[in-house]
Amino acid sequence: MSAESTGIDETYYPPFPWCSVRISNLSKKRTVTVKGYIDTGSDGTIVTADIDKKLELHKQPVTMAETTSIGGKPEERMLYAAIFTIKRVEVVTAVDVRNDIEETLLGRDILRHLSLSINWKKGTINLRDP
Amino acid sequence: MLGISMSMEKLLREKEAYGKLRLKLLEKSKGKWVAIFNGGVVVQGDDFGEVVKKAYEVTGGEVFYVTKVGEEQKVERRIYRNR
Repeated sequence: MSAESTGIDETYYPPFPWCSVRISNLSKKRTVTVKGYIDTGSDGTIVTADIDKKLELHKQPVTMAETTSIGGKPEERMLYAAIFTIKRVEVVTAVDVRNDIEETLLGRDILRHLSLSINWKKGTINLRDP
Repeated sequence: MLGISMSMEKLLREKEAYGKLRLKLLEKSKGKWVAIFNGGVVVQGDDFGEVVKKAYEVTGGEVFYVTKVGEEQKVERRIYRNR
C-alpha cells in the first residue's frame, strides 16, 4: 500500500475516505497494515477473510452479534477480538470476518475513539488522537 | 490450540453459562463488561478493550465470552448501513 496514512479513494463512486490501520491479534504476534475504509454508517468493524487467515482471529471469538445490512435479513455471527492501531491510538474491538467483502471497513466502534474531519472538496482527511 | 468449530462451541458454552449467571450479575454488576470463562466471571470492568485484554492474560489465550450486563441486546446487535 502507499506511504500516505490517509486519503480518499476515487475508484469508488462516491469516493471513499480511508486511513492506514495496523491490525493485530490479541497476542500481537501477528500484524498486518492495511487501508481501513472509514464507514461512519456501520455500528461495527468488518475485516476480510484474508486478514483473518493472516492473523488467525478465528481462534479468539469473544462475543456474538445479530448483524443486519439495510434490506437484509438478520444474521447471528461470531465476532473476534482484534487490536487496531490508528495514529498511535490503540483500540481493542470485536470484528466481524466476512468473505464477501474486499476491504476493511472501520465502523463507529473504532472511529468513536478518534477525532475525524473530512474535507471532501480538498480531498483531505484529518484523523488524530483527540 | 482450538480449531474453529471447537472455539465456537466453547464460546457458545460460555454464553450459555452467562445466561445462568445473569440475574445475579444484574444485582451487582449492571452496566459492567464481563468476561466469562469456565462458567464464571473472570474479569469485569467499564471498558470493553481492557476487559478483553485482561481476560486474555488471565485465561492464557483460551476462549472466553464478553458482554455488557443488562445491555446485551444493545451491544450484541450491529447494523451495517453501508453494505
